[in-house]
Amino acid sequence: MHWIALPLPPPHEEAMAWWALRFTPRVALADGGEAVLLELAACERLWGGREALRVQVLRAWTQAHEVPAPPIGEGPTALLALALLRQALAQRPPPRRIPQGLPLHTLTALRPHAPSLERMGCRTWGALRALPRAGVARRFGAQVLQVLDQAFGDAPEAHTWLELPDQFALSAELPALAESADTLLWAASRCLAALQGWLQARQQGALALELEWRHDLRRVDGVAIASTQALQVCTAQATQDTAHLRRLLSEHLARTALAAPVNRITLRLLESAPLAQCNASLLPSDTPEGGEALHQLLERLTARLGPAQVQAPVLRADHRPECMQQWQPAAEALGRGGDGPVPDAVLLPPWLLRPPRPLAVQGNRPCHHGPLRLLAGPQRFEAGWWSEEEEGAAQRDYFVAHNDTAGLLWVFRERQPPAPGQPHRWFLHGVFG
Amino acid sequence: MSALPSLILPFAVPGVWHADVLGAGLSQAQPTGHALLDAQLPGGGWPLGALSEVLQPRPGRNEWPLVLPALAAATARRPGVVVAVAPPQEPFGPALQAQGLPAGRLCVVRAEASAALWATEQALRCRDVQAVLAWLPQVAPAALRRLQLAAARQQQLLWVFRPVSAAPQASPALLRLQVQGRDGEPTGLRVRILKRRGPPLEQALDLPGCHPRLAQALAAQARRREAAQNAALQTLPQGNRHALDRAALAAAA
Repeated sequence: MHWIALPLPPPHEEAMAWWALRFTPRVALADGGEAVLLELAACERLWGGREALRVQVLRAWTQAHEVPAPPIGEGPTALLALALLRQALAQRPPPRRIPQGLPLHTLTALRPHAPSLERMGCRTWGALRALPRAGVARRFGAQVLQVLDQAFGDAPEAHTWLELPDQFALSAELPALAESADTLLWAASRCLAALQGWLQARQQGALALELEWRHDLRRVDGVAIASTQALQVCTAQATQDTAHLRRLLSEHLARTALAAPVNRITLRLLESAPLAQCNASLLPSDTPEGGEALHQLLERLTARLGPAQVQAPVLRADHRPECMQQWQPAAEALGRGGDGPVPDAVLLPPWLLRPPRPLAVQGNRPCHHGPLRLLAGPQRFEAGWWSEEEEGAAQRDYFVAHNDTAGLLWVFRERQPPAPGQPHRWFLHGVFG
Repeated sequence: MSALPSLILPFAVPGVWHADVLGAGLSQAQPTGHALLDAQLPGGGWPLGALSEVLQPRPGRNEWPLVLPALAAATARRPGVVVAVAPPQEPFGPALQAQGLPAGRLCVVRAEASAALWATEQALRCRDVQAVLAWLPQVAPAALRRLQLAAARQQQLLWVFRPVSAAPQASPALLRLQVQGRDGEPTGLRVRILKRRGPPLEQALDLPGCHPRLAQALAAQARRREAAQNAALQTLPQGNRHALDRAALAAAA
């Protein structure tokens, strides 16, 4: 048995120690969450030895609590590790003989008896152990002896192991009323850190989260408001990366207005999926390291700009240029491409105007920054007669037109004049830019 | 005296660049697809991981013929997405696909001034993005410098399109080009290199301004029209000429 004791910063909650479960299933909280105890002997081979595991545990602690380099207590029993941690936290040097030289108050069970024992001149574990057992048991109770035996490793210890809840839902009372959505983010990021621990211990990745907040007021200006409000955040690929989730939350929160001050938040995991760990490659990879994945980029852009602003084209088999491509949210459409190639598409312009811009007409010539010269055409389109809508049907003659100011343009003339006797209408539909 | 430094300085030291020759460039380059332009660019193409600035008279003119051959080659070589930020018009997928840029690899972000800059920078951070085209008409030099640094991290192609009026401003771009159409020649494109690693280039480069097949089609149509006009003139009865046709006849003869 080899135990490591690490301090837990307040608030002393179970969720604060979930990160430790990724190293070993034997994790216990000591004395109401003052410290977290990890038993490492059973699993240290998996992590490459005791030294390597200690380094990893310390790094995980630093990441989880964002405080540098904690003091640490190590020993063959949990009580001994905890006692050494308490000495280290009180900034006292460890005694010369361990465990005999440790002071009595480092054991929680001995604290009520420490003053009377010290008056007898008994100050250390070793001194107490040297006293006659029958007398100590009669005067202080058998429990004192049992705890001392456990600390020395002579009697078995019993622990309540830390267990993960099946569903992740973590509430946090805010230290002060939050007036703006940004303030919520600060509290939510602590819940996210706990979520990361939960996900790592369960080998899962988050797909959808819900952040719920409770309003402090029931009515604002005489108008009743809902007691809680919630925000859902989804991501395309299961992830344990809380930095990405945090950025998504912050983008959504930045666009959210709080109906009333908030006093409590709850973070729930709505959907998760098992996360497959990928193998590391022996050879150096060709692609540059670092950088984020495409879906992360698209989700962040969509969160700030809206889904209608981040799009990708999907090609459709149609003869009408405006129906040849359809814009869809980039997260779904990228990589699909749509229907096959259009014949003679190299003759189409790379820019399309939607809707087509009506052109002024001088005499019979269309004008766009000056009169246009028709270079090629007509190319006749007659399609969409099956369409229900009025403007779905298209009967057009397309031309390639040019003048020096506007460049090469793609214009069309409607074959039917708007009314009998009127001139044909001309439209600008594309630019060869 | 003037020849002395070049005698003393070793020529073959890597990382030392003589300002009177074209910089070979330590960074990689993506060939532009125009041999004439490649010959004048340091490294022989668009610099990877650096900002290329393109100045144009009006947004939406002449950018695709300049960048499409390079984009087609780059997307064919390795997977990745091309992001277009704040395009002036709607990019037409079928036409781009026919010229080598698959529609399923194009992502369009529509955004206004500061949001467009933000989106460009975000796109440059992504490892799955291969090239970024950004139309940023009013961008500060400091913001351009940020983009330049962001592009260097993931080795992407980055073009920023700005109006010609930005030409006198200082710019951190590695490469600055000015494009314009050629007067009287619809399918022509004239490129002037404003800044490069190398000696300044006085004369402009004339490149094809549209797909060769479109140029062929236009030329064929022009020939047909000319032939039709000539034929119409020939078939006119000799005695029945209008006085106004005389000038045209003289020209045809």
